[in-house]
Amino acid sequence: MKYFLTSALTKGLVGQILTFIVSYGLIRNFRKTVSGWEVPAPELSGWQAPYDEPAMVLATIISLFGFLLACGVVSDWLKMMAGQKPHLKHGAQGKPEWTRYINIDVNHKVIGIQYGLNSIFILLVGGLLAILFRLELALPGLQFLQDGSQYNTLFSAHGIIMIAAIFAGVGAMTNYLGPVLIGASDMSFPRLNAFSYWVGVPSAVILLAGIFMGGWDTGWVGYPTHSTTTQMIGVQMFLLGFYLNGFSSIASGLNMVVTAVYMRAKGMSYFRMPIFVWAAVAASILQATTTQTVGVALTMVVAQRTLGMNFFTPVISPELLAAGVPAGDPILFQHIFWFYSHPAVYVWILPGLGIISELLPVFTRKPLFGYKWIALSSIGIALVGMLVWAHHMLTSSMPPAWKIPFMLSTLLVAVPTGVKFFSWLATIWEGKMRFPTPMLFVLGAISVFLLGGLSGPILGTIATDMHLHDTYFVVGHFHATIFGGFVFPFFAAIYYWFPKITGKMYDELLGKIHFWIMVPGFWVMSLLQMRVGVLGMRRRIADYGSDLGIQVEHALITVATLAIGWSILIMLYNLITSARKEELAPENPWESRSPEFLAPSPLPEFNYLAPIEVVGEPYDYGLEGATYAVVPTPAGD
Amino acid sequence: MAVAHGHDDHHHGELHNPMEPTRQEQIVMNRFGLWLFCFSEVFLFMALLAARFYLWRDPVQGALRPELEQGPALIFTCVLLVSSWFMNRAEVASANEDMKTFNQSLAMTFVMGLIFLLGVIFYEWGLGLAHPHILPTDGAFGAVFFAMTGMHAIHVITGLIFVAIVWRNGNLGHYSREDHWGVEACAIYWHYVDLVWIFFYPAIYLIGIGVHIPGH
Amino acid sequence: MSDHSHSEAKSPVVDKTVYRKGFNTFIALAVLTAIEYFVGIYLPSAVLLILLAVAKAALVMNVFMGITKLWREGDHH
Ligand code: HEM
Ligand SMILES: [Cu+2]
Repeated sequence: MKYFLTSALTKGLVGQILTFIVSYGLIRNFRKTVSGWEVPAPELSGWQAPYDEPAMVLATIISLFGFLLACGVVSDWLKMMAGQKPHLKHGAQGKPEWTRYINIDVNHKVIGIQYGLNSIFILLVGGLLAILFRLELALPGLQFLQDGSQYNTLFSAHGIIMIAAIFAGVGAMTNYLGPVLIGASDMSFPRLNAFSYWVGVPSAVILLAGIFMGGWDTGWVGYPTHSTTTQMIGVQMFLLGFYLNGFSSIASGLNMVVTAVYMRAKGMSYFRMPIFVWAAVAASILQATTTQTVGVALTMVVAQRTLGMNFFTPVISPELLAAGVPAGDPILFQHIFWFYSHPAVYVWILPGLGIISELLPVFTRKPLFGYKWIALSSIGIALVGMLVWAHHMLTSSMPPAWKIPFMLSTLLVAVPTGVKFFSWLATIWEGKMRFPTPMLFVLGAISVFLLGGLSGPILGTIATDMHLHDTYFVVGHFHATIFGGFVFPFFAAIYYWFPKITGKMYDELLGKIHFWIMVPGFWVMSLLQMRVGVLGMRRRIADYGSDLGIQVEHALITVATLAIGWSILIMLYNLITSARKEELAPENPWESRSPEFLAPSPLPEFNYLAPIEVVGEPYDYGLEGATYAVVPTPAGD
Repeated sequence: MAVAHGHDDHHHGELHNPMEPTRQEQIVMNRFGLWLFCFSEVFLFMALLAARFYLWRDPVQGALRPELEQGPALIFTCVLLVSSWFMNRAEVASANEDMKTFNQSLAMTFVMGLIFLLGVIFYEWGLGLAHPHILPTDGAFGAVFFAMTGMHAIHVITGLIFVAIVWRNGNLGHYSREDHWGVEACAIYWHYVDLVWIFFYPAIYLIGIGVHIPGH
Repeated sequence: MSDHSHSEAKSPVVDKTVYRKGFNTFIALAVLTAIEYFVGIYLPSAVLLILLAVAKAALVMNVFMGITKLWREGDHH
């Protein structure tokens, strides 16, 4: 308890809350006293909270600095600015090992676990919101929510919170695995790495706080002109939380790219790099670049709400109109927003697809089929993915002549994605398959991602999207891609590397139960979502008519959601109890050729006791006498 | 095969990383990282430019721009350019351990940068004028003008802080012929801020048909 | 203030040609800026203005920012 109260996490949170309260109070009083800056009396409606909006915005931004300063993640940089040369602090600093996870730590494995814990925590919160509104949707009519704006806040918050969870999960995988797999001792910039994790915490707090400070009803996309005019001022917290989370993405993306370029082990040429690292680099390039544009879009909405700058409203005063001054345009937002947010979906799935390609050869005992093609397909997906954004705007007032190229480029993405599928199939073909839990999740991921992938081109085709846009078909589509491309591979990775991380083995039976509840449950949920969408169920709506004939489907979706929720609790129980048991896991439970499984578990502080050397191809499973990496063993062996 | 050592793989006191990058290796990574950061920021400024070309246009006439005073804008642009040259001198000087030139040039960089910043804030934004030329609320002109110059100004401010820190650390004797990464980083960043203005200046002041904003 | 003669104070190998190169680049940038201004005022051509900006940017990246160091000093394997 003492360690908890003095941890960086606690200090940061206290710092954030205090700076928020103090700066909010100061700014609000300042605005009251300075003439011409009086605050208009708020008109309260629905869930709207009585906050002074501009003061809230400024105080929220300041509160981020409150967190960062109080938790101490920027102290070393401040010291450098003051002309000192602080050393990197390694290890637990004399405290128990577990406190490293709630304190500032520069070790990439610790940061990876921090990301992972954070991800699972946020995932549970987001899942809880989903369960709430699924219960609401189980029957037509309103069950227990008072009004639409409560429902709106629930689904809007669910969307963005899950996205934050996914980013944290991606961070967990790339940070933990990236340096380990390339034989490095850490990332290129350990302090920046810690910063990327810690800046995500206050932004998650801001997002969550938005639910209680007014709520918002714009969905996770925050389209103007609704987001610029809505009375639910929690929208500001949403915009700022989303924006600040971007710093985390940008910093960790940069870090991973530099690490992969410069920190690879001796002998590891680019085409001997583990396939997961290729995927992580592709995702990191997207994170490091396109995130900037969504930042611009979100700041513009904040600026329009707070300062009256007209970016997005096509209305302008008659005087300016007569002079020929142009007005704003809401379509602009959609372009800038999707220029990021489509590539963002690839950030979510590329590491997951990398995990699939990484694990399949281990469990089929065969070389990965078409290594080079898979490696390059990740980069291909990332680059083509930057050119398809407007397929989210096929029903907007964008000029029709623009829509066709975007339709074509969208269909083009199916090519590199297809490359991956064929490689997976060819790798499975005639393999000597083994089916422990990680392999089950890999196979489940492939099946579900196929469903998502096939529904994508249907939405990307203008003629069909006219009917399907904004229906539950879209909801089915993206849940299938996200579960197939992120959630299931993430779980596969957790089970697979669990013995490496903790040194203990998870319970295989519970793992299999988790799988057999979750994956079929997901299939039911996703297929039925697509079905009700085709039958006319719109997305983002609290109610539907009983005459649509989709009540059974809706009830079943809710049941499936609950099953998924329980299965995740089973996983958590499994992981927690297994980590605490005495018995050690076997050294190389999966007979992997990867260097980390040739080193002690849990891995030493700097991963390997001395530099490792790569002497062969990474996925030559089943080939006599092939070696990938030479890993130094502890002295005395 | 390795033997698992359980938790206790690190022993007494200070932990030493057997694979720690050397200072030279770290500088190479830093340089690449900084360039990647600049590349990342390109997307931010491109988004602003996209907004400018998307909104400041007329279906018939094509690209538009607000009619703003040309002279001061040109002067501020040149001031920034001069500051870039001084920054270059400072960097060369620190590579040669020529502390006197370093000192003077970096100070000049700071002054020039500050003049630019104050010029933007008090003249272009009109905070020091009784009748500003343009307001944030002047339709898409005002919105995008303040977004572009404002985002650039934030980077100028960061750059000025950076310059001030490097100036002080330089005088504390932290940079040498072999290791003056701090100066180099500062120079790259400062030139980058100038580079952004190289694109913003014509985009805001020169390209398109000038439209007079009524009421100013 | 551009006083090169003091540089012998500490280190003997101050390479004045490097300062020169920076100065020449600065002059080139100034000339391009002047051309830019006149193009913008008297011959409004967006394409020309963008080309001029790209030329200036290339100069800055090459000389002032030293982009070539990335591959000259950055090779690893
Ligand atoms: C084969 C590749 C894919 C194609 C062709 C595709 C196509 C599309 C299209 C056209 C839409 C817009 C539907 C509409 O609003 O009318 C859409 C929505 C969406 N897609 Fe995909 N998609 C693909 C893969 C993915 C992947 C891999 C993800 C990853 C997570 C994903 C996530 C999403 C999301 C989140 C939305 C909904 C955005 C919103 O809230 O409006 N898609 N997709
Ligand atoms: Cu998309």
